[in-house]
Amino acid sequence: MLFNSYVFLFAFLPVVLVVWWTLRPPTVRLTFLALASYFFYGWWDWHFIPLLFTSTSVDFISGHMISRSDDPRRRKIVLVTALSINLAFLGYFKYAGFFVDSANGIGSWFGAGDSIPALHIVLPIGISFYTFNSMSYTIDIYRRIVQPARNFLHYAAFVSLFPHLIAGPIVRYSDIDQQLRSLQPRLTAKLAASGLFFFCCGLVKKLVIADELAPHVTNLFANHAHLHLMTGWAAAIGYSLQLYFDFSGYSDMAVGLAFLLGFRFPQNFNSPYQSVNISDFWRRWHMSLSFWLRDYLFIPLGGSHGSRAATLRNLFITMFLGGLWHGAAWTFVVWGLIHGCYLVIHNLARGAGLTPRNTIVNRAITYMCVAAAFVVFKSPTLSVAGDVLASMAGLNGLGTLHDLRVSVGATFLLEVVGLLVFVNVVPNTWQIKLEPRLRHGVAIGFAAGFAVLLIAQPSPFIYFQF
Amino acid sequence: MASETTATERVGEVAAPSAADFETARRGRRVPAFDELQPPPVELRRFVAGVLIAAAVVVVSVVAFNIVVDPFGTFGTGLFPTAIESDRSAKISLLEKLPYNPDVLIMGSSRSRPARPKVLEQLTGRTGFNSGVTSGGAVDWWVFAHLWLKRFPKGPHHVLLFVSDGVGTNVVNPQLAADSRAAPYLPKGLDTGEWSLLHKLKAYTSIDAARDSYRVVRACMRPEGCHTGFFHADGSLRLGLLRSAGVRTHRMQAKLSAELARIRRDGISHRLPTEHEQLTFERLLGYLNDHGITPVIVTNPLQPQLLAALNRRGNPRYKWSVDYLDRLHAKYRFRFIDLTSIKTFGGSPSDFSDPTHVDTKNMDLMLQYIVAHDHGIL
Repeated sequence: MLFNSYVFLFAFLPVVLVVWWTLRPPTVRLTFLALASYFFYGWWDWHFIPLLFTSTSVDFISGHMISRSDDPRRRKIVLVTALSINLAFLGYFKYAGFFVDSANGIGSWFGAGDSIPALHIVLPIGISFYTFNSMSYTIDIYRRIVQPARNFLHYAAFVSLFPHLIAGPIVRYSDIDQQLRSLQPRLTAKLAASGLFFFCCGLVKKLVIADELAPHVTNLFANHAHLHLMTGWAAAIGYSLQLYFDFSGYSDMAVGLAFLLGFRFPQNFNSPYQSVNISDFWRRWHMSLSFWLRDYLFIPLGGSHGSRAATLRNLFITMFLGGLWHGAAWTFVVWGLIHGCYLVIHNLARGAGLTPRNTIVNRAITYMCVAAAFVVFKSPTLSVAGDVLASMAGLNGLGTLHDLRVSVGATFLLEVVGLLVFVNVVPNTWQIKLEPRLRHGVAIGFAAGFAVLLIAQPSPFIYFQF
Repeated sequence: MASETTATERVGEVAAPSAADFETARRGRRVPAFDELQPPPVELRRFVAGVLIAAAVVVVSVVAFNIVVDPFGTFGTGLFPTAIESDRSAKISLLEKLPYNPDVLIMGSSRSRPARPKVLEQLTGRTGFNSGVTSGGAVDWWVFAHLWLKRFPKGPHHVLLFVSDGVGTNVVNPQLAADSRAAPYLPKGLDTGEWSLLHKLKAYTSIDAARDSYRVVRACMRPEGCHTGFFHADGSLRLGLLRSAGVRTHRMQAKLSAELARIRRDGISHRLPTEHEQLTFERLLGYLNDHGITPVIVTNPLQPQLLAALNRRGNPRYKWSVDYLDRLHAKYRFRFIDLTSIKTFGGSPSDFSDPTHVDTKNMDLMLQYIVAHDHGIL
């Protein structure tokens, strides 16, 4: 079920909110919330409900086993077992087909043909997100950062909580533990106002901006072999904006829904295109994943406490795995590696005092690097990415403004320019200090109503595929 | 990647000594600026009411406007003509009112609509009626054949049927299903595609539908009023509705380029129709044969560049259609004329309104060729 669908907006959400705020006993409320979230998940394909339940059960049981034991060896064995099961689920459903295809590809280079039968495994939606949610819980208990969930219901409600289940933000148990223990007794005007504000902002970002850019960007990437300098950059910039408004729109909607249920989620985007270097970018883009990778991968690898070479190696490994997390394709691996290279270069340049001092120059360089890397992220194959990047480098000619206008249309160009200014100047949803007045509410309502009227066809969020 | 460095570097100026701020520094903001404000509850309640009411007003107004104008004809409001050209109902009405007995019934899809019965009359001396409709398929032809034979039971009766690749499937167009005059002839057991109330509402909860409604209302505000007369009495298109040659050529080229780009990008459909999907088509042939009619079946031409692009990829649907029609000769009487290539009838590659629809000039040439090669059937 999509947040931007009629069935969610006009049936699921109103029913869930009314029942949630009508029920009184916390156990009943959490039971209802977990069931509603499982229904939300099963709407897409009920066959994967047992997988979600099993993943939840494994981590809940492991968490309790770890917390009850003081034997370091036993604690470690349980942790490793739980992580292995989680990663096995993820590996089978998300990466098995990719590894088989890659092995067959390597085999065919040596004339072996497709020696392993191709796998056609359906990727359970949201598996990357809820697996990371669950893993952080078990690791945090092992590190004695959080207490285990009070009971299975608490934990099941946390993992399956529908606002973050499909595409994040990656919420940690420590974020929500206390909120689950002391549920909000009633929907206050403040919760409703914050929830509606975030949800409407997200709806407008997704439907009015991202979906408006999408067909132009798709068209440009479809003609990847015929792009030149200007159209190549139009494709890259267009996609970077589409992705930002799509994913941050989703995150805003998730935060808004959480408010409407009386929960608070962490921030996931903080004006990433205002970053002054690539390290800064990763503190602003998909923050819940970035911080997850830092806390559960980069730091355990040694972080930045070792030699410079070790730090660079750790950054590189983290970004490689971060890229692979996004999807089982070489494009995502290469995208992660590109960012690993960016971080290494930035680290070296900073150490040598070679980073520019001017903020605007820094922002422009960072943005261009990020947009160029997103070309690989977007492209279906490395060959397509190569075509677009070659055109961006001017290898297919410079093109003219007229070509640009004919290829993408004046409206798209104006939108792109306007949105570039917007993301650089306007505060993000978390920074906006809008006085909750009636006239502001009416304006936001009109915008949201207009956005609802744009839901003509199902338009999944880009990050749903991960 | 958020590297493990100093707190100040991690968050710039946000770093602060308190525990909450440290958490913010470590993992981003916990409380949005909007939520930090402390306005009076009454202001908050007004804000919430403002959002909900304004959103509802926008959505309800647009849906109500769309229902009143009913641009797709799904609610049957009937105050305005539909935005989509409901040519099925229009042609049924014309056939009902036709003052003469049409000897030749022309059937097909929108690609057959430029066929002018007057030209056919000049060539054969027989009167005709063009019942070609948008996305016309076997069920449409079945219904029109029944209406024609019922209204004009006395002959002579001849049929000229234009088919595309895939020939004619069992799909029932919702507009046909919605017309009570066609209902008695709809084959039983087929999906009539009738929309539920929720589907209708969903279709009208849309800016696109509002745009169509606006277009209809604007058209009705012209001095001549709402205009629905797209056809002459004999079912042929009013030529005045066609665009000028220059505009047509420009649009055709644009559409051709887009279609060729799409084929380059996505390839072509390799899904072939099944013979079960042709059930109604075969029943139609049987029905016509039972009435002593030997239909002339003609394949619609394609713009040569499009045809070349399809042929380079094997053109499987075309091959299937020709093979299928060939097999049907064993069961039914009909004359088949393949005009897929304009070279067959000496057509012009520019006389197309889009890559799959010929203009009247090409259609006139096609009719000449058909009459010359129909073995005297027409």
